[in-house]
Amino acid sequence: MQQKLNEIRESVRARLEKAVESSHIEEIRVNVLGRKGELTQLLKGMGKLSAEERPVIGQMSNQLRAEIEGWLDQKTRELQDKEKAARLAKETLDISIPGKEMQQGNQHPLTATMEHLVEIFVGMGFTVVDGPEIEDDHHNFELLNVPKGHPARDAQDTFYFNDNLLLRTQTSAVQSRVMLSQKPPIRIISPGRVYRADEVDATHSPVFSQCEGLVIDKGITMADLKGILDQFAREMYGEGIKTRFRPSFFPFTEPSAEVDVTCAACHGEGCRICKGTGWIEILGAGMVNPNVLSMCGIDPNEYTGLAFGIGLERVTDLKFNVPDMRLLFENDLRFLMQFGKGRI
Amino acid sequence: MLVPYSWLKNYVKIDLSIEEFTKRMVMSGTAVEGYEDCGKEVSNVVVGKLLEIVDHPNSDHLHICQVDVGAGSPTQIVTGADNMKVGDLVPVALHNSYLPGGVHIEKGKLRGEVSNGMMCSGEELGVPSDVYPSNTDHGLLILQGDLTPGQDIKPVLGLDDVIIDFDILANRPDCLSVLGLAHEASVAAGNPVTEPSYEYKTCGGDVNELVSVRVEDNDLCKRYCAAVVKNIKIEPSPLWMRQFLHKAGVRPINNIVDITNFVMLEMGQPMHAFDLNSVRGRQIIVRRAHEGEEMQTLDSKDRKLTPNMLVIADAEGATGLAGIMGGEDSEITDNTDLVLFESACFDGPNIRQSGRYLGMRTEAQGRFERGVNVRLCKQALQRALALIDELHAGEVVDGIIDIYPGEEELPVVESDIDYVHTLMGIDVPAEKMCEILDSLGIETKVEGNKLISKAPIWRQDIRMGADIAEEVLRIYGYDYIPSKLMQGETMTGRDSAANIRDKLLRKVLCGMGAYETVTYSFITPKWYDALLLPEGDPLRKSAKLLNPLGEDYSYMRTTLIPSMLNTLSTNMNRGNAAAAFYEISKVFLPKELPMTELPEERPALCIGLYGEEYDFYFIKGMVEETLKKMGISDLTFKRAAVPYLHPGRSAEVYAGDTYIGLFGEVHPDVADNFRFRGRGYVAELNIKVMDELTAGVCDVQDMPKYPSVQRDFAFVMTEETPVGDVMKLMEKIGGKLTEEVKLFDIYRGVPILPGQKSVAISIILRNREHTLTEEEISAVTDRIISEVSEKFDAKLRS
Repeated sequence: MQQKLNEIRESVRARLEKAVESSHIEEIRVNVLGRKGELTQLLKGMGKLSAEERPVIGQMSNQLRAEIEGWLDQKTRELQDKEKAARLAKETLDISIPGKEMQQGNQHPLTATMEHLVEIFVGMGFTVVDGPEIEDDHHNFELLNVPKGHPARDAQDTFYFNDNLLLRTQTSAVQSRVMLSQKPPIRIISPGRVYRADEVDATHSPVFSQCEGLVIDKGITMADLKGILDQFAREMYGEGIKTRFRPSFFPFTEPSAEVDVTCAACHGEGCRICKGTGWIEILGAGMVNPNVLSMCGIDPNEYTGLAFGIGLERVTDLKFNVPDMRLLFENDLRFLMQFGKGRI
Repeated sequence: MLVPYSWLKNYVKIDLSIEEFTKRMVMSGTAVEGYEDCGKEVSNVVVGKLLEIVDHPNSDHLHICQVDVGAGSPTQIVTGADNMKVGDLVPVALHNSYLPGGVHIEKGKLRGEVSNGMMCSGEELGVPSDVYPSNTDHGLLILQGDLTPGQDIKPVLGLDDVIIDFDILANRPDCLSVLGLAHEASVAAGNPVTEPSYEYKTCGGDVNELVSVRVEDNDLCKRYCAAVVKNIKIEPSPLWMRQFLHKAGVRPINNIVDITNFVMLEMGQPMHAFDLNSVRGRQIIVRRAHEGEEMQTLDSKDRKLTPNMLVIADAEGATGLAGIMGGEDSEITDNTDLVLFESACFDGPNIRQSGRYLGMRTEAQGRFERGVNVRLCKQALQRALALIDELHAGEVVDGIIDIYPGEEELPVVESDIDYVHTLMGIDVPAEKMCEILDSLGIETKVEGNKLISKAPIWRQDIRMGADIAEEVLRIYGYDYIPSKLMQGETMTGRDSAANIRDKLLRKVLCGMGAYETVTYSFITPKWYDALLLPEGDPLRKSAKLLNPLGEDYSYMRTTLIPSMLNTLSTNMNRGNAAAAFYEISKVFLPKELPMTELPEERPALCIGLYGEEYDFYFIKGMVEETLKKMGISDLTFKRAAVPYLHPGRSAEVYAGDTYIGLFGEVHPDVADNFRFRGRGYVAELNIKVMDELTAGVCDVQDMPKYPSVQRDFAFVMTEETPVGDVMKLMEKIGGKLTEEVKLFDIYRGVPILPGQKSVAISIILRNREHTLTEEEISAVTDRIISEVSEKFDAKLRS
């Protein structure tokens, strides 16, 4: 018996050596340990053994069974690991092949700039209001200190529908609507489209966008205006950016300023884009003209106000180095797709 | 406004480089568009004196000249010109010199004879003949005056100058004059202004005996000054005047016309000179034109006048359009010997209206529109007479006619110092403010806490404290305004609901692969034709601009679709193989035409697609997904019937009964009209309606505890049977148990008969209260089989 057990042990070992697939192990398990397996068969002959031998052989055969099961399990694991490794090796992919094409569009640079700008001003406590693009003379001109026959009406080259209705020439038209309907303190911005009879070229478009800002409160000063616009410029273009206020004129503000920011292309060194000045004009601003306050029912002796109108196309062109404003309205996919390659 | 630097320097000493000067002007409020050095292209060109002229031995038209160019010994130059004689002074481009256009002159040999440079014509130096009358078309420029051989040509021809292009602000018409700018330059340079001469001698007589002036319409003519000059000698004006005029962009004509233009540029006052002998009845009447009155203007055009227009008439009729252009009849000619100078102040808005109506645009007109200073009319006239005297152009008759009924004192402005400080944001001391204001000619003194200021005669824009604040600040320096963050009540900022909604739409549409576009709000009416819209179609009800840039930009759009089709076409024709776009913009819907009140400005969403990967169901999916993300449910679709969409491939989308918009394949004829090949797809949705329907914040439920079951069905039905209706019915049958109904296949072909299709649909059922029982499930599935079969004449495939 003992010898037979040894034979089984050796034969299992030998067979395990040769096994290369996990299925071979299963075969061995059935052939040796299964109901009709060699060991099982052998043990059926235990009855013939003497009472002394029986427990000894019994123990030996149990040991052998446990031993074989251990080998089988171990060999199974080994083979499975090998097979897994082989499968993984076989599944190796060419990682240089491009990934699955994802179809995501992106928003237009103008609206992206508008959203960015709104975010900046909302952060400073401004509320966004909307106004009509087709305006009447009263809100677009009269209430903004541009009476009939005023030369500023001509300078702006307004598009008219009739004597009274027109396409607003500036988002400032919203100012009068807000002042007539709200009491100070007022702190609003109003982004939107405006229209002027400019022929189309690299820096002009008859349709463009502005963002109006208006603050009315007690003791508002030009220093507040500077603070707000400096903050805006830093958030829009980064810390290194500077602003420059130049005296100017708008009928609805006095004093008035045109505001330049450091040319992004040359960092203020002077280049072709900024005509060598190092500065790019992006907005007009000033202290709300007391006549405008009075006409809109706000006492100019009690309140002062500041207003600004930011040219969104300019801001956009400057932010992204867009060489020609016409590109913004052509909507060529090859242009638009470039705004999907980074933050906008 | 173009101003030669040298002209400005006539009135104020400026010891600054042009760079520094223009920078100071800009920073004190006078914008500079740019400046140009007149002689920047000319170098190494000098005055030469011809000493000897002999014919070239080897040429029948060349001459060999010995020229004194100040070098000690004569220089030999060969020329092809023959308008010169020994002793003439001519410009000589020496060896290694440059002429306008980048022309480089070097010594060389002409037919074997050495030529050490070139003698120049006026044209070669860029000197126009109306500035230099001796400049002929072909031939050398013969120089006039006391010149030294070898001296630089630039000062001789006025090329040692810089022309500055000032951009004048609308509130500063005074700066549309060299003298007005001199007042600004005086502050920038720190030197006082020297006024030109207004003095002249007269020859006696009395202007009132030579002419009578009557202003009938005082509302349109605030002041009218006139003077008469006799024994006029018409001739070219002196070189300095011609050079100034030319550099300022005005063509020199003759001494009388040049004087009027010179004074206009110098003082900002448009002037007119009449040949008084041609003024019938020697009467000047300033009045509105009569109904049907006509006249011929200086440009030889016949003008039909209306009673809104102001004219200068004589005893018999209009002889000038006030403030715009004189009449042909009373034009200054070479034979003129008696001249009436007019210096008046006409009403700007009226001039603007008349000019527009007649389609005229003159320099004088532009100045009146922007505001001519009524207080300076007489002084300008005196200046013109002083120039007559200086140029010996005629004899000034005694007396000036000055009709000025509404003369007012110069305004005095009182401003509260604290208020001025508040506006400026910087507390400039009162004394400093007075000093600055005085330097601008605004006489100011401090009284208590007030500044009392009196504006100078040339300024019309100083009326209130805010104006004083600006004057002080612009000279003190905007750079010194501190940058502060606002103080006061804390306010919560808030974006608008419309912006928040647009952001969501952009996110959704970009996520589906579409790129946002921005197009003009005005379109060409031709696009309505291109959409095949019939007469009277509501979309044709567009607000129309009176003065568009052209027909292409004349109608306010009532739909975004044509702009989108144009964008698709542009992209296709530029070779972009496929594209998906969307635009969020307003459409303009007038309540009536012609418009009498503001129209509805309605936000709309437009989607446009073309390319292999897109079809009807793609755009339908985009519409459905967009509406889903907006929280709009219960969508139904009806076949659309619009001329610009494919009749079999277009649909209207509703939420319940509410119409939201339409979408579909572009009609092939419309595609042709917009010049694109192949199929395109568009959608247009009414965002205002979407806003009303939107569910707002998502409503979330707990995860279901009990399992769902899925049952698949394949029905064979006719091609015409709408699959969506079958799915709707299944959904309805499932009732509360329906979680989802999904289409997973449509099969055509063997063994399905032609004209039929096999449609595979699955339904997912779930009861949130308990695990579904077989009875519950089969109650639903049995009904589905029977009702679908019955209602749609369909057969369940086994």
